[in-house]
Amino acid sequence: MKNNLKPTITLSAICVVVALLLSVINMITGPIIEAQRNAAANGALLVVMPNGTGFEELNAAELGLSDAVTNVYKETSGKGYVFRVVSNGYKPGMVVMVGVDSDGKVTGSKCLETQDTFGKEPQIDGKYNGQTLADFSPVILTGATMTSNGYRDAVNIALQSFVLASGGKLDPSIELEGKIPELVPVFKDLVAVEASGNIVKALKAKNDTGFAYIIKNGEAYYVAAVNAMGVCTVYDSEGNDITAESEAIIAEAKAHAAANQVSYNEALKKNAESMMPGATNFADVELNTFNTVVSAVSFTVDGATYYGFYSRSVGFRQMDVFIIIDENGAIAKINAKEFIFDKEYFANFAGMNVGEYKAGFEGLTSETWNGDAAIIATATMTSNAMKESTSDAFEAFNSIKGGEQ
Amino acid sequence: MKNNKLAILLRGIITENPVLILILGTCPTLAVTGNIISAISMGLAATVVLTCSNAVISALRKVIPDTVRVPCYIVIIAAFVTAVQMLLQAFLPSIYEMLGVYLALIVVNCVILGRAEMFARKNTVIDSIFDGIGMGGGFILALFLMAFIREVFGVGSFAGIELGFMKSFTIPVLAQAPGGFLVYGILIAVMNKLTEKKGGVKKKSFSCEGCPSAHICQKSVCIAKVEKEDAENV
Repeated sequence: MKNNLKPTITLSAICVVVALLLSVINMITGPIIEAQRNAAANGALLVVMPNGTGFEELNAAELGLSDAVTNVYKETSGKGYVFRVVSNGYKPGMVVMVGVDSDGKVTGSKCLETQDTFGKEPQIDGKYNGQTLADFSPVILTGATMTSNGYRDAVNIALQSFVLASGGKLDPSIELEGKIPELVPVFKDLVAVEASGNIVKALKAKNDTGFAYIIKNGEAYYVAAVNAMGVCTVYDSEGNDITAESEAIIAEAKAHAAANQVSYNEALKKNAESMMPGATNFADVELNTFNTVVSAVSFTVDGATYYGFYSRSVGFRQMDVFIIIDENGAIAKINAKEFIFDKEYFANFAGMNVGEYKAGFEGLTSETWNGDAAIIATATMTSNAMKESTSDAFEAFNSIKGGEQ
Repeated sequence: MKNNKLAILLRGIITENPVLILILGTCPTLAVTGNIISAISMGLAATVVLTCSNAVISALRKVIPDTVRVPCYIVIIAAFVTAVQMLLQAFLPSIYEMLGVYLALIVVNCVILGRAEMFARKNTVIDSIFDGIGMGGGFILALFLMAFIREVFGVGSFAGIELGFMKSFTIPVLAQAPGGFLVYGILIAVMNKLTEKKGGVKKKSFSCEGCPSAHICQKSVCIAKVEKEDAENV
């Protein structure tokens, strides 16, 4: 019995002592190892929030954040938030990670993904550090304006998201800005341009189809939309059309737009002359439509009246579509630059019969137009852009005719 | 006295080198000698465990009953390995990642258990510490030699630093498992040749005669026993 007891006690004692010693070592190393594990798991987040210790992912939709915010992480000790934002640079899909501390200051920013080719994003990384929503100042790199704008938008969205995520409310002007896509859906890919006077924020559609403004009048904020031909519509914070009673706002918005709008009238006239030999008596037409048509003219050929429309829809990339409609509302000619006929981008369609495709539109009216003529197999984006341009041209034509009636 | 300690120290490095003479710790030797950094890191980790476990086992040699000595040794060795593992993970995480599972496998490294059984349980604490340092030094030296050959000639780099002039002369197989066995075999052969003249044991046959550890274990008792059994069978 005694012989069996000693080995058992010895081995047990060694095990107990060893366990105690290891527990002491574990007490020392455990927290360090845990911190390292968290650091590895949150490596990407720590790049933009270096003093973060742990992060917990929250639901961006439940916080009421912009759709551009794909992921939001809260620093577990309350040091702030990290936002993963998708914005548009020269090309869509720019992903920027932005850290915002509990005081609303940017702690770091890093571009994770981009399709832009200049590769200047790393030069902007970290340049917004310390900025807040109140003193936000864009960083624009020479030669990479669009990329810089995309980056700026991402940081701005992150700063706005911080306000919402931490239970605050956005400035009414910022909230109103979020309603612009709903009020003026045609203005896709808006980019900020320099504002002045009562204009709190000036936004320009990338395809030059118009401007959207947040204008302060008294204590209230309004949205003013100006199309490419200078026609203005005004909405209040509830989204009601109050154009008829907003002369001062209209005047300010139109003045800003007139100073910044690119004119496509000459380009349209030149193309119309080329498409319709003998065209003469050109006259600019002002449209009150808000769509992709950026310029409209009327002209005559052998005594017959025609209307020319210049549409800037976006297919696979920016397109310039010219549509001539006769006075009966039927398409006389159609032409387009830089879409499927551009072999550099659409080599697969080099064998396409361009003449036949264009001729397929001729004679169509808004009643007979169903979009089929625009379809190009395996070129969905280009087809959709052609459909949009044609529909917009008909809408513009009908607005002219409606006005005449 | 001083010479005796020095002899214990040097014995592990050369004449009783655990890897090249005693053929112990073969698994980590082949596994981590793909690059010099991991080889030296493994050598150092094993040396720390070996020295500490030798000291503790020697100190407890009169307390630990013979019947449970191996489980006791394993617990002590495992404790030191776990401690080294935790410390490396906390303070040198890159080395911890690099050594991977082989770090935990030090527990069953024959060098450590072998020295506990062959030396520490029969000698004083100080001698056991010297033995641990000597054997650990021999282990590091052997790992370094193998890793040097495999990395420099197999990959064309030294401790991760690319050697431009070697790039065109690399022998990729050396960095692979077969290359590990090849280099190991060649080093054992060279070591045998070098130690032969200094009283080293020729390993020509199997059983005790061919065992690389025979000359330091109970060789005479073992041989006498085998001879007796042979005589009885005849």
